[in-house]
Amino acid sequence: MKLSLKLLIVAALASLVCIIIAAGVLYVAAQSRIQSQVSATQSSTATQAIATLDRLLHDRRTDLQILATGEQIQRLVNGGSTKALTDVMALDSSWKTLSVLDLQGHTKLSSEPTQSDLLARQPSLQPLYQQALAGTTVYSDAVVLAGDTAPVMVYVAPLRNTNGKITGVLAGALSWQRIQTVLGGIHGSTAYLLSHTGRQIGSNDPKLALPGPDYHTAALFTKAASLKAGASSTAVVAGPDAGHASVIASYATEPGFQDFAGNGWTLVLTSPAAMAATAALWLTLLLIGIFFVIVAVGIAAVILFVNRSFLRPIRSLSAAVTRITLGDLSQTVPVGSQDEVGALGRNFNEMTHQLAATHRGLKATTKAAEEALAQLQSSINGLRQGFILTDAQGKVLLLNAAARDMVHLPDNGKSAHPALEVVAKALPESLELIDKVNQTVADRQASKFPDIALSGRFLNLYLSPVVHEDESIGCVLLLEDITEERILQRSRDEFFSIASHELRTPLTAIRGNTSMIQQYYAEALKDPSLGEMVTDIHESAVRLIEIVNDFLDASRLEQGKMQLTPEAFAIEPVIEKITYEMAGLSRDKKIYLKFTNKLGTLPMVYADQNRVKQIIYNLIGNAMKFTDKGGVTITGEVDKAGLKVRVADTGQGITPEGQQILFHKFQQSATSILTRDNTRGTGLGLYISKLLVEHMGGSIKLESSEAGKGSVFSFTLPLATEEQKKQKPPVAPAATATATPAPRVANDQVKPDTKPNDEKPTQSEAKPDAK
Amino acid sequence: MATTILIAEDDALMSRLYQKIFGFEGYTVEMAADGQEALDKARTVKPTLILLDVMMPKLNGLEALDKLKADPETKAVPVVMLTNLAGQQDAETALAKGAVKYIIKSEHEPKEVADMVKEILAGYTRNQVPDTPTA
Repeated sequence: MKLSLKLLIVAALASLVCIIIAAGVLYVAAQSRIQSQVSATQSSTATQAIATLDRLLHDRRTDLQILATGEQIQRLVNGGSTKALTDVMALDSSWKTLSVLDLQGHTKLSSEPTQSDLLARQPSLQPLYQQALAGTTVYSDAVVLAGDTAPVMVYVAPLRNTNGKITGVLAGALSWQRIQTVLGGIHGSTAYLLSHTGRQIGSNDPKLALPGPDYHTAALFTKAASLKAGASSTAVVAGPDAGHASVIASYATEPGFQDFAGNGWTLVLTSPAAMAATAALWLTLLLIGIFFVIVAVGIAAVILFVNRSFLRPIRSLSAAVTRITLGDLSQTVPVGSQDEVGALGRNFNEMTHQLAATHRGLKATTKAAEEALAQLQSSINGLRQGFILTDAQGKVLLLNAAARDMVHLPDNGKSAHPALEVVAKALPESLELIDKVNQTVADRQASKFPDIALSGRFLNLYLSPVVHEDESIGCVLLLEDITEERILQRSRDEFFSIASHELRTPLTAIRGNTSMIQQYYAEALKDPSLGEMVTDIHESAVRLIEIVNDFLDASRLEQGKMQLTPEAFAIEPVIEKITYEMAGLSRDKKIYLKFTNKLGTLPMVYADQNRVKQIIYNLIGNAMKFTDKGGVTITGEVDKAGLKVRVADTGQGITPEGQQILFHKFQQSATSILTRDNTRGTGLGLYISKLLVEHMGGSIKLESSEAGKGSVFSFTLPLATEEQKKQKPPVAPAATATATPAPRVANDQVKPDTKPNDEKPTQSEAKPDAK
Repeated sequence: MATTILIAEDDALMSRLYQKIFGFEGYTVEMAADGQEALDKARTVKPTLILLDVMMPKLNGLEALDKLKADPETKAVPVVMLTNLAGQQDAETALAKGAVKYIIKSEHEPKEVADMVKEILAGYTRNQVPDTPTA
């Protein structure tokens, strides 16, 4: 239902209620007003009528009185001529009859012969006759004289002679018609003339004109009688009997009107109360009609105003909102006013403008996000790694082609991604993929499951939680096919195995044979050139074997395949033995080589003893190699990182460029590949030492180096704990001691085999006893 | 009495190398080119000491060692394993199986190898009874 219609109905109902109340009030007020107007009119009319009647009565009385005292009447009385009376009456037409009575009450003269004996025929006039004899002029009510039909009023006045003596009574009958004529002049109300006894003696209603029974006006008279003498009043009184309606009646007994009041008369004017009510009703209806018209016009105006000011803008707003809802954001509404509705329209237009701008921004953002998503999906689909994304409940949201291939899922076109259960079934059962995914989501911990064998291939599985705003919302499963890597790894291992065997066997043969030639065919080598050549062949073989060994060490260290056998041991004897072994070379170079610590002054370390030897050989060998004056000093001290061994030389030092690449693979300090001194090792020595130290939990570094003044290298080893000291030394070392090469140093000239026979057999000798 | 050394080595170069040095050093040398031949010769020639290469065809050094140590006739003969650096792990296993020593071939001059063997034999000679070191 439209708002306007609602407003209309509400207005109509409200108006109806108002009208009913107003009609009631109006009706009562109108009735009261009409009644009082009627009463006022009645009072005024009554007063005028009474004045007329009073004047009439007074004039007749005065006339008769003058007539009674006049000489003419005296003469008439004395003459006794009836004719004279009729002549008098001719002069004054008011009188119907005139009679002269004597002092005995007999009629002496009369203008009407039938009325010769007035008092005898009309005894009710006797009191009047007596009053006239007493000297006053009075008159009667309406009376119907015997033998007559029309009512009359009888006036009596004393007849006096010239001396003033009463000689008789003059009686005149005034035609009642005169009174009736006055009453007949009253319009608008029914007039009743009441005698002093309450008898109705006249009316303007022709039907009631004659004196009638008094019951008809009893109630009026009762009311009139209750009035104060001389007062006039208005009242609504009940009708004379049940058959009559209520009337509005006015009474007048004006004090100024002597004759009227003296007679005890009352004039009552009545109007039916129903008439006033009807008039009031009509007036009310008229007013209501007018009111209706005004209200209707008002409502129409209000509706028009509301429609123009509110409903029309609201309807256009509503229509615009509907179009906006359908997606058209270009909507504006006309702004017709400066009021609140106009402000609403302006705000609405501003809002749609903003909305459109926001919408455009949103569309751009959405497009960018969709593009980013598409790019991401393409990237993920193009990944060589298998990629699976699940939500927190383990539902697969994304699964790329690589993942499908890796777990051998059938490509089911564009249909939904397979459930995680399907993926789990394709992978080894022992992996418990679903549990792992749930755990990843719950713990928010990434994890890796390497080397999953799957029909001849090897996969690495990485699980990683997707965390957004501190909440785990899913899991990423990354599958990496490492089969190729594994194959490559295996071939590399095989290569090194072959290299170690196949390269070193012939080299060992060369070295062994040349060494035997030198040893057993000394006679044949007397030619110095031949001797030198054989020596060079031997040296070359030795160096090649060392190079192969370095390569193998470096490779195994890089791959973490170097097996170390750590033990707790004292380092001082180890260093002493090495310096002892290398003393020959230092003597040859005329430099010193010294170890400053005394035995038993340093704590035990926990490391692989043979590897530690290898490191020390390497550092001392390097130091001696680059030192031509002064010498090499080895010191041990306790450092916060463990035990630190420092090798300081007084050699040529290392350039800053050289320092940068010092511990890198194949790098020899201060040399380019072209200028590399090929007699000085593989360039792997420091690299291997670094890897070894780090594998044993220590570190190695160049402490300082200054051109022309020398360099200081140091490495640290972890100290042995009390528990480690109590451990039995590993079984192997005693046996392997001989087998281990140990003195492999970058410097070829450092030949561990200068004195190998002193110690090695001794160690191996102990072996059988130990078992 | 000449000391007999049985050298089991499939590589001809190495084989001849060790044959020469032990010959120079005055030993009687018997050669075997594979594990099976080494087993056979160990039974027939009754060597004083056996040098056994780990990597050999037919029967490798470790398998041959097992059989030598299982045979009452040969189990008392000291066995020295010859190996290359990559076979270090196998060599350790060999010690557990009853070999007295292992020698990484590329690490030592022939003379050193001969000296090592001499030391071992000296030890046995001193003890008179060359008991088998049981694993």
